[in-house]
Amino acid sequence: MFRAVLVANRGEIAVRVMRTCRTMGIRTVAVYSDADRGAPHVRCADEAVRLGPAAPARSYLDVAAVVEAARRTGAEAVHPGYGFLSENPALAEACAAAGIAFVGPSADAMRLLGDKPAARRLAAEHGVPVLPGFDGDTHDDALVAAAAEKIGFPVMVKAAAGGGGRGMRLVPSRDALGDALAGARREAQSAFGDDRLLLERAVAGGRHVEVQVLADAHGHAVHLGERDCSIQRRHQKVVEEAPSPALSAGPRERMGAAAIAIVRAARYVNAGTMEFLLDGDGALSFIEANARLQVEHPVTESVTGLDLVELQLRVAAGEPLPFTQGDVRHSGHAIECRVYAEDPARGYLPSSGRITCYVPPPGEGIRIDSGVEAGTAVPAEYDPLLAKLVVHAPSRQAAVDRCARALEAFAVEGVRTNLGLLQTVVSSPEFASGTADLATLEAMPPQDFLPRLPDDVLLATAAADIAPPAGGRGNGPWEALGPWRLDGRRPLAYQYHGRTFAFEAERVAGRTDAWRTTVDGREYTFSAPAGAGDSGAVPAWTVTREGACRIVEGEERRYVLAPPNPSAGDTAQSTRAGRAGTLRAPIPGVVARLLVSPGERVRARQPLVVIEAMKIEHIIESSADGIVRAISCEAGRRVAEGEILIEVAAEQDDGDAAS
Amino acid sequence: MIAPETPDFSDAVPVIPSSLDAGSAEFDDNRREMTAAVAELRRREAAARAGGGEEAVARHRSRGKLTARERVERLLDAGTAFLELSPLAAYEMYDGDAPSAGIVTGVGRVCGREVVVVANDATVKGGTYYPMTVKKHLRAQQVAEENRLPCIYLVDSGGAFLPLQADVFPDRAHFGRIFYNQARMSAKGITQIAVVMGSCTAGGAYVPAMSDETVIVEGAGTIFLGGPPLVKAATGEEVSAEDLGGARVHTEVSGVADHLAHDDAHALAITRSIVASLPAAKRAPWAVMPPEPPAYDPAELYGLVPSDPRRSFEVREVIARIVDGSRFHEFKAAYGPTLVCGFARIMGYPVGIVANNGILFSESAVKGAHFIELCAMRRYPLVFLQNITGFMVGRRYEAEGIAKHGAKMVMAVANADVPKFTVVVGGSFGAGNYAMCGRAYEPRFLWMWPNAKISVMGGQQAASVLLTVRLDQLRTRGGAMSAEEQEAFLRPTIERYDTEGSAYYSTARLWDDGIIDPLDTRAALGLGISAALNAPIPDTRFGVFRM
Repeated sequence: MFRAVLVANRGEIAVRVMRTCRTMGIRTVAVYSDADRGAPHVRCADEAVRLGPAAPARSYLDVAAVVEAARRTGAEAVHPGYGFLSENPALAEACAAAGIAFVGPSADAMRLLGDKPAARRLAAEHGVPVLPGFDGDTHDDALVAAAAEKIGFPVMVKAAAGGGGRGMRLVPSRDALGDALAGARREAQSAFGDDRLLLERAVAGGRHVEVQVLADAHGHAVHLGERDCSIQRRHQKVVEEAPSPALSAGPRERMGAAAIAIVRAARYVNAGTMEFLLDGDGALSFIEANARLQVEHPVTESVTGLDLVELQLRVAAGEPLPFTQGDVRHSGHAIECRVYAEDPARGYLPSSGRITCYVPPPGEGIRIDSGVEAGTAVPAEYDPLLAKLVVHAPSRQAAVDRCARALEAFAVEGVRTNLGLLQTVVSSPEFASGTADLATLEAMPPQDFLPRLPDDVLLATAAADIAPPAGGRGNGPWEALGPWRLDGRRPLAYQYHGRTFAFEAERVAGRTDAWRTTVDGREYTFSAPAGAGDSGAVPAWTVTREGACRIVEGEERRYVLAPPNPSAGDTAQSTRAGRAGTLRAPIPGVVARLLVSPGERVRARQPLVVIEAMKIEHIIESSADGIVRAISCEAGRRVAEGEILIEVAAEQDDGDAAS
Repeated sequence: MIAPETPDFSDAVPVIPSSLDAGSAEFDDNRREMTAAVAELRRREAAARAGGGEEAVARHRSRGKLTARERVERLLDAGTAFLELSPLAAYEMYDGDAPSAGIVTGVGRVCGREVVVVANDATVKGGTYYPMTVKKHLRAQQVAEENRLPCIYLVDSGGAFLPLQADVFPDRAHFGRIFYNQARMSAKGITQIAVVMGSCTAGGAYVPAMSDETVIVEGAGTIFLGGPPLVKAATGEEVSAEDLGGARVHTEVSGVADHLAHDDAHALAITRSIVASLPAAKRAPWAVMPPEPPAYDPAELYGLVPSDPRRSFEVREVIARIVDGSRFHEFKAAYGPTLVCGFARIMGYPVGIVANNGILFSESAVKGAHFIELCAMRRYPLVFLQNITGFMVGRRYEAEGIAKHGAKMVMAVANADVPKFTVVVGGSFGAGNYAMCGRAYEPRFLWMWPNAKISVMGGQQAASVLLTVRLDQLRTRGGAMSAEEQEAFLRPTIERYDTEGSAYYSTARLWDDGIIDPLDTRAALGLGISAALNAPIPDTRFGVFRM
């Protein structure tokens, strides 16, 4: 086995891979960009190497830097995680050239399966059903249009390379085809550097079911059952489960066999996933292959009891699989929820900032894979996945219940999250009945994603804060009085799943222990200290403090409320450095370099102009996200102090930003 | 703050015995009366909190601004107390046009540190300064200076209220004093922070300019000596408010402000960062114990204060419902019994309590002076519970020198250099007000209960004195007054004294720091003492006591 492994990733997956390394006695090496200095994945590694600045292209996507880091630290293998370089054959090849093991398939197998038209042809050749589609040359619009007519509308247009839903377009009719092709090509080109497309018949509804496969270098291949990933938004998975509630034994067997057939045909080694579409009639069609570990792999680990990362490492080290297909056992039901830093109410706009409160739910059958903790900065540059909640229970019903409870108890504050959405999805009748399909989440109105709290949880917390237990926190009037006001009010505000619940309690006249309040128009009288007095509801909750957070626990239920953080400066925009505007020369000097051109989109703190003065280069950065409107200087020319260099205008919300 | 070995106060000091009958009809009457009085107080406070009204608030918000009260709430540490000062300032003054005098002030906590906050309410006549606004602003500065608390000015004001300029601008305690105070406090190391969240015109421009550190909100805050209209009139120059004195100008060019904020929330976050970086020095000269609630329910205070202000009540019953564990080490209980003196703790802090239990006699005054000396020596804060009709009058008392004995107590009160706190729980009349640390004696804070009355003497007495003088004049001219005429003569004076003696009349004019619910007496005193501990307690030097 390897003595040291470099994990070429960040966030939860880096932490997760290192955890297995540690249990196997393998030394771990983390890599990081400037934005991740001090991030949890850096601190949990035995050693860490800086790759470069925050921009992914100059850090986590820099093949040479990664391989150099491995060589310098004596890492014998590189685990790529998912995303970033995980499906980039260049890294696999560079590792091979450097004599370092790559924990994943060969570059050839990666190329073959990573290319959607090629994988589709391979599957079809081996008798695996595929959707009616067009996998030829898509640069000729007329040819593509004819093919689309033949497939029949609606048609799905996908980028031939890459994944993650980028470059995907649903085309309802022929009028929309031209625009969709142009848009998809542009997106594919910018995301993957490859503007080839693939057309397939669009299936209304349908479910996304995928098979986990594992193959060693000795010709053994097994499948570990399916995962159902039908809860998606904008072609991105949000909730996954295993087994699929929609699959019976027959199709399950056929799908497993088909997956193995593709693996063998591609000479695929290591962990991979074959994705299928299950339509309303129960028909399965191959869609694409993922030549890496999936985000949702813990679901399979939960029901099989296997450690996929351990198996990946063993396979990469040349060991044979330690079991055969007949040894694979499944038990119970597992559900994974992806906790994203994003605002579902605002078109899933990613949210960056600093995590002020992080308290994962404790308990049996709950696994948390997380890349953050309280105080972690969430940079705008990377995937907004913060953590994954994975629950395991004997039955699906029990798993759904456990999942709902765990989501209630999960606290992540400081950035916007989709925890409210996850709560809504998991408690929806569609999910509960196992009938949710790919259209279910998209059909839910965003206002349903507003996080909710039982009123009595708020009241219990209010009671604990209005009359803190004697000697409970610090000593002195400031600690003992809570949110005391001269006029008898007690303003109260709590954050829960990113939503602020603010209300006021008022003392019942002439009573030291009875309070009146209105929550969302509902009137209450309650006692504080809790249990004192004879009137009002005495909530059956115990409230304790963990740092600034309030842990509210009742029978089998738990909530974590955080106080608003006044130092956070709130407002979504304030994480963006500032307002657009005119940038002036801070010092007289010569314009050494101009780094942008008019019309270019720039990010806050992006370098725009370099001025040389007093033998030092001064970098002029953009004060905000925006568009370069005008450039008033030129390279080589002298500028006076205060002279206008560049004007950056605020970016117009053209609706395209979220796509 | 907590001494490792706390003195064994709780065990050694006895609990005040109570003889209050909570089942009596009188208790019930009293409670009903006080409940109604507090409800009325709450109603008036709620009206004042609304500031300039819904329309003005909506207009204010439409500019992306938070209201003055929201700004204060956002500035303070979440879930902590705010000791607001005089929320009913200017009550029923200026035709009701200036709720809270258009300014929110008080002591709060920012990043764990006590500060004084002064926030203009721009929804009230554009945040302009009425005479009471100036008085309230200056009072907040006085609280800051006496207790050495950093000042945070959340500025959003059009400057002086021009129609009343004569009562706002020229005098010693008028507008100019604001900047004088800033300069003097800055010199003493009491940090001055301005957050410009709206206009800051003319004289108002000196608030940020005189501050140690200044934040300004882009697009909202402006600082200039003369606004665009004045500039145009004076020089013909046409310039926008933002170009004349906006955030960019002042943070990048003029240097009048130090930090640029993108909005109110950002500005307040920057302000918290400023406060967090200030040096802290707070030390109590004695051990502080954990707060302990009174043994008797403070809610019973409602039942023990008589609804008829002329009836007396046992002040030990009040003390028993304010101090920690209701424990009271009484001093000289049997001597001069109309003044109750003793040691207790309030929210963990040791205090000396001086409370009226009837009219002041020579013995009571001498005892009070003696006790105040003790507290000054021990550096204990003094709490005065006022319910005083005055000093005893009459030939015998003058002959025994009550004036010089009263003077001893006044001398002691005036010079005791410990933090002093006064709560008017009943009447505050005549020279009793002086001896019991009235406003003129600069207690760190002075609060009134809703039932409290304050005037040079009672309305009835004043009317009687005036009637006696009048009758004497008439008699020398051979005239007289019928009973009806006498009644008619008395009535206006009694009514006038009633109005002017009410707690609302007092609080509107800032003769106090606010009317409090009796239930909050403990809390207000605790926060006040805590604030006072930011300033060192010096040695006291008394003047000449007339023996």
